[in-house]
Amino acid sequence: MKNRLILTLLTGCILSADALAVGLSNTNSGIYVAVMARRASEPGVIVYGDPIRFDDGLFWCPFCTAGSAMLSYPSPSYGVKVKMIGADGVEVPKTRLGKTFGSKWDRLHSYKDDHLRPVEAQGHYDARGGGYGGPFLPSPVDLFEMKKPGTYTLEMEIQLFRYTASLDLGAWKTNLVHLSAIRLNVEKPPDAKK
Amino acid sequence: MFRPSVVMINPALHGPATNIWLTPWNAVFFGKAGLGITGLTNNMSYYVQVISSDFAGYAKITQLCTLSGSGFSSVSNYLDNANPYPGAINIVNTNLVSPLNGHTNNLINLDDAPQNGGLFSFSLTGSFVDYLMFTPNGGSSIYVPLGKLTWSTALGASYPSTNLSPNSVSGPTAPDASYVWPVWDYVFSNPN
Repeated sequence: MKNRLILTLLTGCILSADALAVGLSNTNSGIYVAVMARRASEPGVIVYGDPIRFDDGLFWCPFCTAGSAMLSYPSPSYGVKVKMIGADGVEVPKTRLGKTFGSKWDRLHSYKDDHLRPVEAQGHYDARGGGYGGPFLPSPVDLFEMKKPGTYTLEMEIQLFRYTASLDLGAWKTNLVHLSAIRLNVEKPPDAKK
Repeated sequence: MFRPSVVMINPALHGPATNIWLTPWNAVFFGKAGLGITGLTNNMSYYVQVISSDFAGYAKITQLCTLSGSGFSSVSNYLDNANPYPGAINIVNTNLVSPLNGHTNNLINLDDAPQNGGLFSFSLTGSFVDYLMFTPNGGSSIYVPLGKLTWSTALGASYPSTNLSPNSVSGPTAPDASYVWPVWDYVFSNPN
């Protein structure tokens, strides 16, 4: 009975975590990212607790399991793969912009392949907030043909490098970090105009 | 009236900005040099931080460039590629450091590495003005300037010399607190 109570509490905690407007990646080489949303109607306001809307802008923020780490991230064509599943379980077609995301995924091997930009992973993710920021991504509706109202599931993979000042391409290849399993629920309300 | 401010946090994220050879004179007498290596070392890559205790919002960098050199038409006061400069935008929180995880907030990076090359000789002179722009939360607010900073580079070489001449780099300066707005008529796009 006691074990069942603990299991119930744990399940409740997991479901609560899923309800947050954030998607967390797996951890790889001590790095993970949180994908969050910026409310479209209130620029600068990070969405907490509420569902992510189809027209909210997205951004991602890197974290580190120990200390901090300087990272180098590519443009979305090399570094961000996206996929969306509709409420009916069918994959949603991508827009022209959405098709560019991840289109050069397999061609990322070193600093030579794209203009990499720096971002620092610092500390751990805390659902209470405290201030976040990071590279911007477009809104879901700019990436997918979200024609029907309903709840969609956005799946995302990100790859980036742990930064090294080395010219050695082998070192860069070793430093490539692949972060997967980021899932976000995205809602399109029935009265949406777009 | 409260006005957010901007400070330089790290002027040389990838080490001191330095002109270097990217392609030393090769068998067909082509050579290329640039301000460091993009995303790797010695390029213009800095962090500024926006301080805004009263308003959260967004901040971005709008970069205008004046360029001249071999192999292309000179441009003066052009928008450099896009507004904001690619990657140079972030959310502004009212706290500079998260009390929960020590995360440093409100950092904006500019990462650029102008370069030029040519057969037997090449040159590039570039001066850049980076405008730090801010918009507070709220649907109808516009971006306003918090200040600007400048940086420049000049490089060139003639075969068979391996000396870069000219060879100078200055900046980035500390952000000033001017109210000057970025104004441009044309956009400079990197050649593909």
